[in-house]
Amino acid sequence: MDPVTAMFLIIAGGVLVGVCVHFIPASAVGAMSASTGIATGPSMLSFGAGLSGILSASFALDSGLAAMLASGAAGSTLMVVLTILGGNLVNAFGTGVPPVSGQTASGQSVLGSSTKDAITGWEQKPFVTPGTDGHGMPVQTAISGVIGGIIGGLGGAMVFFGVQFMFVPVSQEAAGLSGMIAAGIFLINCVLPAYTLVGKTEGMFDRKMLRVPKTFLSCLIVSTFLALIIYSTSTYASMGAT
Amino acid sequence: MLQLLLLGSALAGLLAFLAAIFENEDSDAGSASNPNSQVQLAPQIEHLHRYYNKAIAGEPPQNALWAALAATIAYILYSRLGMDPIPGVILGSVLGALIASLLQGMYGSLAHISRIASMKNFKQMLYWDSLLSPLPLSMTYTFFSALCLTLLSFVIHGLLGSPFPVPLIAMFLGFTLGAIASSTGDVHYGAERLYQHYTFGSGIAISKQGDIDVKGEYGYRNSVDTPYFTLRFGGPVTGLTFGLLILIDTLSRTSGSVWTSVILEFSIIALILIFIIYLEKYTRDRYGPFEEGK
Amino acid sequence: MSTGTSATSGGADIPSLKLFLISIITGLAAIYLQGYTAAYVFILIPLIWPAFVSSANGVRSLASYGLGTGTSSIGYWGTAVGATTVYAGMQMGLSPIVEISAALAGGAITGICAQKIIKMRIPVMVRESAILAASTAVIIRFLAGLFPEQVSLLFPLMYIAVTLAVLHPYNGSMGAGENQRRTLWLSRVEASMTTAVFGLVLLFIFPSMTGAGIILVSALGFAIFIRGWYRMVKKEIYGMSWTGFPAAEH
Repeated sequence: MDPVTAMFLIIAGGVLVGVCVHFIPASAVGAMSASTGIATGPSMLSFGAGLSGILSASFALDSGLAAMLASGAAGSTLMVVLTILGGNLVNAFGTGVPPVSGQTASGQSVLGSSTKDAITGWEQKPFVTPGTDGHGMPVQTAISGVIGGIIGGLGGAMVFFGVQFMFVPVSQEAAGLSGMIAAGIFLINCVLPAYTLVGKTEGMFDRKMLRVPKTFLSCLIVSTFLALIIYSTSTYASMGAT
Repeated sequence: MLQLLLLGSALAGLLAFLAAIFENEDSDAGSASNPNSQVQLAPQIEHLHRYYNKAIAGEPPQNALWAALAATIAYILYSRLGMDPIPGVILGSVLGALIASLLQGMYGSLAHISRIASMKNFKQMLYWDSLLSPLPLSMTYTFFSALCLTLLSFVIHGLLGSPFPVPLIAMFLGFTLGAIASSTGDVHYGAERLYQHYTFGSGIAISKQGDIDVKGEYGYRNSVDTPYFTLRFGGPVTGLTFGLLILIDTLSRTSGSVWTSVILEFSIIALILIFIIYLEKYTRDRYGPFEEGK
Repeated sequence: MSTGTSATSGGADIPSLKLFLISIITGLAAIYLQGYTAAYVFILIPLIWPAFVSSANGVRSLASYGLGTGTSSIGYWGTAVGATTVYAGMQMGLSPIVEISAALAGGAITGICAQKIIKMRIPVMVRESAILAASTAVIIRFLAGLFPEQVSLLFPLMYIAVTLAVLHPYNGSMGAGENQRRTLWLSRVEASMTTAVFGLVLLFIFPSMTGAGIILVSALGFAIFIRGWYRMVKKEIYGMSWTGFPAAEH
């Protein structure tokens, strides 16, 4: 592997991070059980998931790229799935509402006019509290969250691996430094989709999924810029060292 | 080696569980994070309140600051004092968490006073006692959660062998914990505690938002009353979520092979998904479709 | 600039470009003088406070448009751009001007993406994103220069402490009666708090006069700023009392 491949790895990772935010269901109004999705902002939640992925990936630092990517994906997905479990538990026993998708119930999701859950086939409409936009995380959004976790974990681990690869020759504390920089790149890329999503998404069956190309292009531009900075930094620094 | 890893996982799980409970109660005692919008909205629809309105930031960044500050100070003190690992780490962590909780108190009171000052048009008064009585409570919760997160970072760095330095692990865990706590435990505060006068078993319609409970068990409700309620359910569920995350993640790695741990984690994820499906089925059968007026 | 006669509306806002120019001049001066002042580096602390004010103002201008994402996201996004470029740049000993320009470009590129591709329709998006990223880069570069060694250990704390100091002034004073003057006073208070925290950390690393000096200078600043802020609060608040019940429903 050479530094140019590592640079492309950072760019690809950054784009994946941007896309993962679209898959993880999140909505701040969810905290009042007034909307489908995990009850916090999309960028915050994806960042939390991504960091637990990077932390998991750090344990596989010496086992090569594939092991690191797998470990990062596992860490992120575990965080997302457990958060969905916790959120559903509180919704079920703390608030007393079954998980239900508001957008599917109103027939506006990408599934067309169907008001049934895409995976279980359960009817959604009668379970929505009037005046709210669904609550909790029904099965279709949970599956979407798992996919988002895998994508985000892969992206985070890719960025981490790329940065780590470039910083090993120039720094004694490469792991910590590249962890910090990978977290920064993750963060920058997961705020951009939040602009696209306007604070709320139900995952892959949400109509906002159609806006992924915008996210993709913006994240591509921003990640390319950041990857170029890191690439030139490490190249000049290693030139200075030799 | 295996024993050390098992001890590390057990300690990590315990500390994570405690940290999450305390973190959730800290945010509830200060009406932080997403339910904050309801406390903020209340005076606009003439619900003048006596809540502590601690709008420091979203839960992940603020929690990451307390954890990172405590862990940085703990690590510096530990490496400078040259004491034995266990007393050194504990002493450093206690001091670090103390400083973090002092900073939290300052940020929290500045936020509360500023936010009330911005509510002049809605005739919201600043009651000093409604700031000063929950303040020590919320600071205590921050102290405990920062302490647990710092010790947890030392465990992950020292016993479990993460290559990241302690402050970085603490910041990561702080962010993750904040994201988890604001999406699990806060629902219990935002959807149930603030809206206890609505029937149990419904989400809060957008049109009802801001119509929060300002009266408590007796008299006006103060933020001290909040953890009394959320500690019964919201806090433990947050603890369960974050505790399970750390425990499963660390336990799966005791085998020593990366791929075994990945396969283990994904099979546990599949099990949790099946449980989520059964939970949804259970609630749908148990509660039935929504009926108006019930 | 407002003369301080108007109460709630706060008069005309200070233009963010002016705040940014002040912050970049004093900030760069502080960064370059760090090499000459050695142990007396604490006298430079007041020169870095304008950068906090400028970034807090950037957060305020962006977040007041309602972006569909929290105020905190803007704050930690801006600081991430500034911090990431500075941390990467410091590895090869880049000149601070290059690092800050890279952060400025990074902020501008993200702003252009948000404006042109995502179509946010926020007129100040590009300018304020660039200002926010560059001002936080100035702060982080200065703070990193305070510590002679072990500095990469402090990167997480620097990143997150600056994030809070930058996003909190607007997030903390949000509401119908929010105005720029009070938000910026709060930002000064929090700037001095943040530098005091780093003074404390420095004191723990090297128990020396420098760390104590930073804490002392920050405490002096804090004492001045908190008075200014509290004066504004007293002028603008509806009422204060030790205890009591809200009148409307009692």
